[in-house]
Amino acid sequence: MTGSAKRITIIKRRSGWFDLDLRRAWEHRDLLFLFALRDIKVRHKQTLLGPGWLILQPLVWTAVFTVTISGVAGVSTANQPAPLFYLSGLIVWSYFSQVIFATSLVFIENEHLFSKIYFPRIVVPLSSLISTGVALLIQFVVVLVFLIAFHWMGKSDGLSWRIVGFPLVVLHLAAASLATGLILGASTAKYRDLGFMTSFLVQVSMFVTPVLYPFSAIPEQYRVMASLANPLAAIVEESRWCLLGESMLTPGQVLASLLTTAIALACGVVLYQRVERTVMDTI
Amino acid sequence: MQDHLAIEVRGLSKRYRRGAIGMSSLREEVELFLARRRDQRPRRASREFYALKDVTFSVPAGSVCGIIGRNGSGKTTLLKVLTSITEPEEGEATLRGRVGSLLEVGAGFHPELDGIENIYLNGAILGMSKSEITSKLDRIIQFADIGDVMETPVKRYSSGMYVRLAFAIAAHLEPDILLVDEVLAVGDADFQRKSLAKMKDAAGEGRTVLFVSHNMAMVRQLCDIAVYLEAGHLKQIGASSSVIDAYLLGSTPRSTQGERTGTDELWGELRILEPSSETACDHLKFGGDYDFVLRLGASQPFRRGVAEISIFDQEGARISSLESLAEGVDQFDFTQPVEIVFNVRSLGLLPGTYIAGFSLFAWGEEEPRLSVEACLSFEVVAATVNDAYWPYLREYHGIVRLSHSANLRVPGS
Repeated sequence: MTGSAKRITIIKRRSGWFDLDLRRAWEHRDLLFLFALRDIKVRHKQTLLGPGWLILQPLVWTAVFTVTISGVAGVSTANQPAPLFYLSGLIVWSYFSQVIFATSLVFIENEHLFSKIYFPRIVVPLSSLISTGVALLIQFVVVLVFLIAFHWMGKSDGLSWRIVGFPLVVLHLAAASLATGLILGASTAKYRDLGFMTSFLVQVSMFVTPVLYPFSAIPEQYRVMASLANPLAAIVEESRWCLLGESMLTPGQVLASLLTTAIALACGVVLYQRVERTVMDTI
Repeated sequence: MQDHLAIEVRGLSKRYRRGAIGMSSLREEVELFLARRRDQRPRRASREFYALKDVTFSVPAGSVCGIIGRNGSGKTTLLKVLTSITEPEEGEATLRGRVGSLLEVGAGFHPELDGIENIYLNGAILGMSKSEITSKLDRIIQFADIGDVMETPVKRYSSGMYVRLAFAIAAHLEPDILLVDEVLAVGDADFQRKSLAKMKDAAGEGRTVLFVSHNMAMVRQLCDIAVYLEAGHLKQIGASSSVIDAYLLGSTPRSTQGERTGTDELWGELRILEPSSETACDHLKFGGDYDFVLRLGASQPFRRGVAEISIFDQEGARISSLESLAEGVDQFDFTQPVEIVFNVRSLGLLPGTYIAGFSLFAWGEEEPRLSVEACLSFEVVAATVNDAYWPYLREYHGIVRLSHSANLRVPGS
């Protein structure tokens, strides 16, 4: 133990807008994965189907939508087999909704832990990106199975080279989900009444995002605007571009969505780290 | 740079809102904002108070420092600021070295996960890397000493096992600076002793321990220096024994007699020690040997003192008394603190909870000058005497075992 090698911690009131303790967050990278592992393990303990739910849920929704929205209401599925069309959108939307649910409750659900020990609080939302990512991976495999099955039946083009772009879509999706989650988490920690907003927002997002209808149903001149206002809209379309091949996506829409995502993420991080400094005094 | 100081605290202040612990709703906030706009006094400003106000002190590396003070004096707030759980309003603190904290054992345990999984999770929360935990895993399990339950979810653990495992993890964190809240109050006597030894080891290796406690005996035994907080202010810092004396002088209730005369400022402190190790304990073995140590101090010379310790059961009935005069301590005069040691051998109190208090008389007077009725509570745990099979128990054998032995004879032969 030499004096010069010792780490020095200075504790004082921070005032910067963008004062992230990245060094400490990096030191806790193992915690990130252990939290993710905990969430995965705990989620499926003492359940009947375990991870089977991850497969069953999107399949049931897909069946319901195929019968009602596509079959009964006759809404277009952009010349794609309805199950493929819904599945490719649903996996994106369910990742988004799960991450923002988990992140919006970060301070409330971890109140006891946070009031007893410090570690960079950003670790918890980041870990839910990972644990929900594992669910997404499983669902992605289900989509692949469907793609191959429909190709075999001659109803779809099957896999294309575009599928290699899917990891980038996931990154975009994770950023947008984290941004929304952080903003909600920071606000509900301060004003608990905003907690109701999360479930409301999740419901609304299902309808304002082209999950149940094709993006092409939006008039062309509004599509960039829609991506700007709801980054998730473009992300769902990106997913369909990768998986189904056919899509109305333009680079402008992707850029618009990325722009909103980046701004929201910056706001989310600033809000979150401002709240985390003193939230334990009031929660 | 002062490298020999592990902790430096300069002008630390922290304000809280009184009563408003809990979140404000958006509506309240809007009302407050409107009230301010109308240039009214904001309602809540008056309810703010300082949990810490301009606290400055430093702790040299390698020492054990106790933080003492009454409830609400800011001890826990100080710890929460130093551990970054919350931010100070003013001032600054510098901590040199890796910081570990233990405000509550087992914070972050997940009930559904098993022992090993929780060691990893809790260790990582405390700041260890995964490889570090792996290398310490065997030692942690050995230290916890809770048997073959590592594959069982911790929700099935007894509270004692839970605490043991949690402390074992924290004890192996091996930080340069360890910040500890009153966590050792839980756990059984043996484990408490082991944990204390581990903490002392920590200081022996050049580590620094900051330790919040209400247990003066423990602070006296463990700490080199002590910080005495009162209502958020730093009242005194220095060698632990003189700071504790000052704290006790400020907080021990005085007898009416003493106050009426107004001449004597008296204080006293009662501890129970194991004679062999001089460690303070509150779990006593039936039939064991213990020293009841009464430490007395006065700011004015006190003449012809007679001291008495009274032991009560939980219902408040007096069970026994220990008398200084009757047991060989003549009337004593003192100004410097003195200690009267009552050697209790083969403890005859049957297992249960007892409360001890003490009184100091001036010889010849009816009323005590200082009387503290319940200052110490202790537990007597069951044990057998003479290697007998049957332990003495309250339900079957009464309250006290008279010192005796038994033999068999046939009359007339």
